Amino acid sequence: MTEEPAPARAVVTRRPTGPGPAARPARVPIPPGGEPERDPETVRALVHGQLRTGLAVVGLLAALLGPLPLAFRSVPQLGGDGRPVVVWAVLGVVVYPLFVLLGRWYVRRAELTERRFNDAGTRARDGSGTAG
Amino acid sequence: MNQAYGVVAVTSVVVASGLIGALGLRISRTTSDFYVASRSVPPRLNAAAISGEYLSAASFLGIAGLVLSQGVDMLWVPVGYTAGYLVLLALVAAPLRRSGAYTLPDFAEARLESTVVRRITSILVVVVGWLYLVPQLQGAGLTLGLVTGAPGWTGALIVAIVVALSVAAGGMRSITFVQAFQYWLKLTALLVPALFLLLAWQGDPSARTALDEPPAFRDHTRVRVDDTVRVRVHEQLRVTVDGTVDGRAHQASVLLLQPGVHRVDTGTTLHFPVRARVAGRSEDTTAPARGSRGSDASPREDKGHSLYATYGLILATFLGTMGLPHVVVRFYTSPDGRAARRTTVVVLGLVGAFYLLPPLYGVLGRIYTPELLLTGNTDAVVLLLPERLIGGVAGDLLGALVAAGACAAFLSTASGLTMAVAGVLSQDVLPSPRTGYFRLASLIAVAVPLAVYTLVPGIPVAKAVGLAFAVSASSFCPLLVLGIWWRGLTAAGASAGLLTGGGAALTAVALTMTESVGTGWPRTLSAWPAVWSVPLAFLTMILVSLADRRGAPLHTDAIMARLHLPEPPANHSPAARGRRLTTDEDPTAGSPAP
Repeated sequence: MTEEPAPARAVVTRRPTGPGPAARPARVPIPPGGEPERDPETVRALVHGQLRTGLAVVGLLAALLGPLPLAFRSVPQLGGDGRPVVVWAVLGVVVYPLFVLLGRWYVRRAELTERRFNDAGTRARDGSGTAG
Repeated sequence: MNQAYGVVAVTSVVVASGLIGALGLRISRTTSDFYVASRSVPPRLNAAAISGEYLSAASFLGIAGLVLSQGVDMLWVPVGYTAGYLVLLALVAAPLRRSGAYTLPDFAEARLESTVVRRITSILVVVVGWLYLVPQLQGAGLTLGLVTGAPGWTGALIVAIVVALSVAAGGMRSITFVQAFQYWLKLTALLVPALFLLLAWQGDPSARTALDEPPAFRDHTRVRVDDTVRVRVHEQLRVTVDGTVDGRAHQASVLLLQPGVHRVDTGTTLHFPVRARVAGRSEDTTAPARGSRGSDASPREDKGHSLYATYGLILATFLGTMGLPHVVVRFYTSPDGRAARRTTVVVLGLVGAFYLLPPLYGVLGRIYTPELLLTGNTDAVVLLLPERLIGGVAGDLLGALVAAGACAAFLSTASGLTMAVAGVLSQDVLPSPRTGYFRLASLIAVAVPLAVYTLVPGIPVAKAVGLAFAVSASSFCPLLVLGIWWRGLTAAGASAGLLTGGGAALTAVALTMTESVGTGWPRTLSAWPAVWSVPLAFLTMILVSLADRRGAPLHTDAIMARLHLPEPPANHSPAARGRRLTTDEDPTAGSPAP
């Protein structure tokens, strides 16, 4: 089978609706049929919990690094090479392990939140007998 | 640089990448393989691939160049490149993976149920991708030019062809292997020479600390200026001039340069005495190239500018990373949200380890290659140091190794970007995401930045990349963050924010690249747009969404659940199987479920 001519395709303004092999694949995979039904309130609580953890990390990052440019500028020369060496050490070396530590802390917290959420879900399902 | 070694090194990187890619090709069969490696890449491999893709010419060559030319403030560049992943991890990684979409436009459409937002996002992805591709080609031109002596455009052309071919042939699966390999190659290529360089530096009795600024010439040095420059002299400087300085011709005459800015014309040779403090190019990125002498800012104003620039850089890189098209697309290759998070932590480690090295080259460059400051070719410092400091066969071999690493740097990032841009082009511009069109799209994805590169030469590599970060931070960052965490975001709000923030940042970028803003604050504001354009984008999205209460997408609850619900543990069979089946499905094979 030959392809359709190209110029006609430039003006597509809506998604193709017809079925068949030529139809566009669902660009966004279909919500999985087997997804456990969760009450919107619990989901909301989960989202808030995760958001708090995320913002804590970003806030910590901002609090730790944000003042540095100002600090480096306002601290007078600590005599000789003092100031540059401190700046080089902080920005060149110290921050990188710090990032990894923050990252690991975040992952632990986030996974903990999810585990609790899953456990609660399992208990709720088992309790209401829908699991069978 | 020894050309034979260099050519062998670069060729073997290209050949090795090709071989590994071909290996991947043999197992890359379905469309899903092609785009996202069937979502089965384990964290470590994926993290190495993400890092390999991320560490571009801007990281490999540009950072050392910036540290050489502008000193300690530029350490914020690698810090920002890394911290961006921490922000991405904390706010975006797992939900983005769970959204199950292939690209940013997919995410936008899934979350907001609007094809308009999808269109706008697609256009921005392509623009950001191209903005980021230009400096990669520039790095390629620089490296291959130094290695082979060929003019810059041939290097860029060769790399463009190699990238287009490998992406078109192998798709995502092969790219994953190639890029994991390239991460380790890049790390080795900087680490091994760095050890030798440090030894040589230790053994050099005349070397003094280079942390002071500005650096000084160690020997009597002759510098030939190939390209007219304006240099800033900090203290009275006696030089012997052969050529034209400040519009006056000299022939081997001794000249006493007063502090201030001087213009040195093409073809001039300057002889500097021992320990002369090196005259730096007059702020080549922030001062107008063709301005008047009186344009120099006062010291206090200058300070304010550079503080603002530092914060602009921090905001752009911290928030821009999450929206880079080649970064985002890699997260879809993780098996699930948890893996996406863990992958990101490994990336933080790998990228951080790499960034310990380039500043070292910048510092050593301040001691051993200060003349680059004058010729302006500071991006070459990484490539030149081994030969300069070690010399002999060892220097040549190490130089070749560095060249190989640089080659891996622009190859991997350029492939990743091409992949991402081509993915969006083939899904949203070309009619059908079948692989034939994908191949056409990957050609287009490379051809445009190649054209731009030949037309708009010469902004510093890391600087150009910074502009791509700024656009990404002012458009995709608010879209992702608000889309993932705020139920109130509407399609109208997102469109308005994308257009305002992205548009403003793009305008600033265009003004900066064409050098059409004057001096002082307007220029600084447009060179570092993130400080104002990011809040502008967030504010627009929020306000317009609030005004458009009824515009909230119908399935917000379902989508929010999907973004945030953890994947069920594997032993909860019905649910787990259901999810795995739908997400792993080959998109061309299955018909949409009801």
